[in-house]
Amino acid sequence: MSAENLELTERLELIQNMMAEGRRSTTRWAWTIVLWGVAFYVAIAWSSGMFGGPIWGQHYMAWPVTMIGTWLLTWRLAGRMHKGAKAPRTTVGRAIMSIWTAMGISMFALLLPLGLSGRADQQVCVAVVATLLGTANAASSILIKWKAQFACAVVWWLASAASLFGTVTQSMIAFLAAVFFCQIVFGIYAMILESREQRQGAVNA
Amino acid sequence: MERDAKNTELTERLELISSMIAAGRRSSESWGWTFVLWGVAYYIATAWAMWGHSNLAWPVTMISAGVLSSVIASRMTRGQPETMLGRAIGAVWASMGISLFIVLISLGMTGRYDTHVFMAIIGMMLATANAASAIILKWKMQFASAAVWLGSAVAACFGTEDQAWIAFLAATFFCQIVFGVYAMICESRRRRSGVVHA
Repeated sequence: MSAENLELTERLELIQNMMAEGRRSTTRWAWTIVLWGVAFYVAIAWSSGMFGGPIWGQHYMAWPVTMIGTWLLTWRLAGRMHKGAKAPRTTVGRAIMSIWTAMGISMFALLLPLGLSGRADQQVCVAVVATLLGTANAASSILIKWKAQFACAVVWWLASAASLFGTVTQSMIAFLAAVFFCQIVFGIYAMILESREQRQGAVNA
Repeated sequence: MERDAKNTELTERLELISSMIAAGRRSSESWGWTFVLWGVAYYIATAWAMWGHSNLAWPVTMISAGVLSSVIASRMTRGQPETMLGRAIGAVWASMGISLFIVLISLGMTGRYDTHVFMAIIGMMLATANAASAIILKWKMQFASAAVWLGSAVAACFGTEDQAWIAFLAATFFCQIVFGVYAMICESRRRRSGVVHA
């Protein structure tokens, strides 16, 4: 084998190792996917008046309070995870984190003005959220070549289109279904993968 | 002894990451022409839609720009080795393109065309892609572009229709034309200094 071929093979192996590491680091963060899925459900239930009371009966507060609360919780738990982490940050981990951070900034910076200015109705807001989540899932899945996550991106894109083509009720059903499949089911699947890997690691050690 | 070895490993790892970021930024600079190309495409589409009063202006111009970009890009990348950061940035922009296409086509087909919402969504998606690339590459200039796009998206929500258009055209000028030309200048300078060193 020529030196050039050997270098190319080594390079390919390195990229494959990096992708595998990226997938492992995504499964370590699977709890955040489930946490945000539950937060979406809580915000929807609260804003539609399913629970509340004299203090928490202000339905317009549902989304800002739930989202900011979840963000603070994620931040705190992520900080603890970073402190206890044995392995240093990887390039792929950094890239994935950058994608989700950028998505978070955009969502927060646009949904508030869209809501406050009254420019967008519920269907457009659902489409915007679904599109952004589709983008972040697609970018992460293409980077680490993970078909299950790309399927989530497709579900989010379908939810975005369904929200605009359907009625208000259909838009809400599409959003709830996408949250269930892409946050709860996919999050639990990733957590199972991580626990399996940890068990295997413990057995091998 | 063990701590020294660990420190050396960490330093090497950090150096490797820094060199990967630098290589990623260099490869981004070589894509500066795409920013300029898309900036010009936005201007053509805007002018055609305004003066030609044609509904085809945006779809035709965007699809043509997409085809032209992919043809030139495939020629550029032929025979070039793939890097991890290159893959990451490619993934971000490809996903953004698919998402933007789906949401804008859906908005158009369902008759929900509203300049404010259109401009806000375009600004938000371009801000997301620029911000993700900028954080990956630690490139402040690109992060400034993301901030300008986000500013134009917010302006589209609160301003009048004319103000929304002005914000969009100004953001296109700064974030596509100026930033694209800046990236191209950086690349040509680097090439020239490479030739001198060779």
